[in-house]
Amino acid sequence: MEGRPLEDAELARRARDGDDAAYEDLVKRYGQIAFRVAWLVTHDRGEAEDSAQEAFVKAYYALPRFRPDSPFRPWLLKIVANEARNRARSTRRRQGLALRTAAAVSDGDAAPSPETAALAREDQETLIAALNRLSPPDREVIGYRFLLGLSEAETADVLDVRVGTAKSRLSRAMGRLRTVLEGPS
Amino acid sequence: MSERIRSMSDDELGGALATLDVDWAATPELASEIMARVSSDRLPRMVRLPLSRPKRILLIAAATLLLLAGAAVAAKIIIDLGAIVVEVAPNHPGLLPTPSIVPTGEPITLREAGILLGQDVTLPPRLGEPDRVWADTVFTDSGEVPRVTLAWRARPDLPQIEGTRYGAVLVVFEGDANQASKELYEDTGVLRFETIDGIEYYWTRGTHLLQLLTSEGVVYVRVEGNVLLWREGSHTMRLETDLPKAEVLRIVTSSGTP
Repeated sequence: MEGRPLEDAELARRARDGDDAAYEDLVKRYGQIAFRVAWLVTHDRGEAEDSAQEAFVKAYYALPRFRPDSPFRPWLLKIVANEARNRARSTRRRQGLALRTAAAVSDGDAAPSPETAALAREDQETLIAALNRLSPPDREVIGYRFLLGLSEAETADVLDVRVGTAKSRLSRAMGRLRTVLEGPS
Repeated sequence: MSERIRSMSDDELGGALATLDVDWAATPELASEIMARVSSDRLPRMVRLPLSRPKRILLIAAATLLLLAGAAVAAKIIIDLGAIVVEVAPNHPGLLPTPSIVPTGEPITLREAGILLGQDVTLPPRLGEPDRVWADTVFTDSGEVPRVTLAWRARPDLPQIEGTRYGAVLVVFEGDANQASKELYEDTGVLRFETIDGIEYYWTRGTHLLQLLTSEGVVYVRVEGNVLLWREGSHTMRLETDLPKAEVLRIVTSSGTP
């Protein structure tokens, strides 16, 4: 029977009780954002894939410790970020993040969204270039909050800090972004 | 920079970032591999035994005796004890089955820690028995290796490490102390060396990441404290405290370290 998608907590509960299909739904629901979180940390596609995969496996076995009254996504993404940090620190693959605008590499087939269209291509490239010049921690916090659209609370969870700390870290990162934007190119 | 970006408020700049059309790396298909892994691991979980710790120890002992006796095992038996997995492989003629112990990020005993590391953990006498021991894995140049962590709660002679409830945390894993020191240096920007009796000690202090056992498993937390790193045999030892360097060196060098 078709119906509304199950809530995360219900899927997590079913998965914990042995329902593989429920966990597969969660993997499909959050696979993309998990991969992107890992990519923001590792800056390497292969490491990001391995990190996301390993994190989902660890999360599966940690389901008995998941509190159903708390949101699943930040809980999962925290595990992903931890796994990615572990790998990034151990494999020394913290090369520069090569963020690019999609428009710069596409064939121009896809029509830009209204929001994207509102930001001129040149401005987009300026912002991306500035992000690439930030330190990894600054890029991470801005990436989580704005590029991935995590809430302040989720950003704090993934960074494993309090919300207030995440806010101040984001504020400082934005200040440094502005400095880069205003500095000599 | 365009005048438009320059004149943006922080909120507007955030909004502009949120609408960036980033060329993300294509997300790989994750579900099939993940589900294959968790499904293949299902068997040991199905025989997980909700035993008390004394019973687990008895079961470990029984499994060990079984292995030592070389008892014929017709089928593969996996006994999941929560913190470790004792695996009895099919018995081939002339071969003794080998136990494989897998750290799963849960509390373990010192004895189990010694089994995982392949040698007993040398406890600094001044620290005494740790309040908590757990094991997980870490990626090193040699691949994924077990990592054992021992933690002592804060007490009058062990001031609390900011960001934790502990006064001392000792992390042991097989790997390169030099590499581990570089990772710490990335966090703190401080690294000092000292050689005592031929052993090179690395010292750093400041904000850095430390993995701790929490209700959500082993996670990295940001802590403020001092770290002493050194090598003992093939293992890297990492001691976290909030004590001055001289004090920590006294603790470590009085532990029987050669």
